[in-house]
Amino acid sequence: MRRDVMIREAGATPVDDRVPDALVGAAAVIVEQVAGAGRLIARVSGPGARLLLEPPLIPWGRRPARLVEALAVRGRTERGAAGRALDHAVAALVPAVVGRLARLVPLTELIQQSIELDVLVAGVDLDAVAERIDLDAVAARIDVDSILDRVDLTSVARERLDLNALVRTVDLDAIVSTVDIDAIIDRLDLDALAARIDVDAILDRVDLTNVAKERLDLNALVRTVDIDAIVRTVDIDALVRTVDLDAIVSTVDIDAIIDRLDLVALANEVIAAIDLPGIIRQSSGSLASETVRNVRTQSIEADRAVERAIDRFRRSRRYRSDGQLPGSAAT
Amino acid sequence: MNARHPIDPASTMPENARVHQRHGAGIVSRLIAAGIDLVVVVCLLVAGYVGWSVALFILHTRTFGFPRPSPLLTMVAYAIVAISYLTITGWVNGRSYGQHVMGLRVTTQRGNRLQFPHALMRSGVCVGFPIGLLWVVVSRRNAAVHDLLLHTRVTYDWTA
Repeated sequence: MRRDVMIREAGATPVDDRVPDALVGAAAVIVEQVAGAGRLIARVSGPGARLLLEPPLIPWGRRPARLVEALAVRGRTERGAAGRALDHAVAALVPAVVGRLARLVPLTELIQQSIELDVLVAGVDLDAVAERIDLDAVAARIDVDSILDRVDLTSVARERLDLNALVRTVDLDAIVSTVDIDAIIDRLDLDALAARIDVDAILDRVDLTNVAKERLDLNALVRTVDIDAIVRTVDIDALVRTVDLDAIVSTVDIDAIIDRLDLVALANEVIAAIDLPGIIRQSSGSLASETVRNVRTQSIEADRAVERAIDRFRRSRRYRSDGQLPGSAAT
Repeated sequence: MNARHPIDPASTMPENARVHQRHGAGIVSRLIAAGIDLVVVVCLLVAGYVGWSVALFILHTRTFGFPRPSPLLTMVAYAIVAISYLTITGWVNGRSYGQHVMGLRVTTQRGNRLQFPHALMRSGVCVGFPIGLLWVVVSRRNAAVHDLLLHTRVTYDWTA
């Protein structure tokens, strides 16, 4: 069977290769036949050889097998020594030979032409290989800085990262607690920043009344105010004109105020201030006696009576001339 | 409180009189004042007549007799005394005695006291045409004829 296969394979080879192949095939047949003969001889001579090497009734130390064993031991020793000497020779020769070959033979091109790397790699269990790699050591050897210099991290972050989801996972409180806010504030141009703030809009949203009540020490604040300067700028006259003094006075307990006044002393001061004796002298000196007053008053009333009579007379004359009722409007 | 303040004369007036101050005086008040002034002028004439008689008695004791002035002399004397009286009182005090009693005052239309020529002309018209006072009745601003001619007015004024 194997021979038929070999013959078919030999038939498929080019004609130029038939001669050597035939020679090799003949040698193989010979070796096979010799090996078969050897195995036959060994099978036939096996019992005789065992009897010869280990004859019965002879002690173990004097049997020929003992001699063979001793020779085998000596042979292994010599083979080991020869192996070690060969190793030394190979270790000395192979690098030189390989170096020489490397200079003489373009190994890279030879490998690229001769080996299907894709097929080779496809057969490799990369997972198993990766498991065997010490990635920490590999990573330690990588120059990360040079890699980062060549990468546009901004575009990578924009295109590949869900920044919102990333930020949601961040403990911002912990981060902020580590920040030196004073140093940041020292670096800020607060004036320019404040100039950009719409203070009016902020104030519209703030309940300043509550803020003032809860946060301000109004008493301390008022103590620092120059109230005299403020009062000098106030138009008190205009302010007082807006006050409903009648309503205020109606709430005042005037009786209590009068009870607290020394009216006698006040009257004495008023009399001294207005020169009451002078008034009395003037009244008597201007014939303002009761009789003269009555005459004057009566004469004034008589004057008004005459004027009213004249007015009625005029209206009645006008009525007679115009045909209208007295006091009615003209139509 | 120790400083003396000027007296407000209106404070001593009755309430019903206070509202009429500086308003034009009516015919009744002015007639009464004119009557008082007439009495004053008559008194002055009588005083003059008595004085004239006393002088004659002293100078001509044996032949003394009361003087009998003619009506013309009497009228001239009346006119002189009346005009002098009204002119001096109106110029100096702004009112005659009769007007003083009745609480009246003579002023210009602007409320100023009369100057001497103004007072003299007004007195002359008053004495020469006394009936003109009755024009106050029909005048809407209580003006007599002499007030209309000389642009004066008579108002209630109870102050001294």
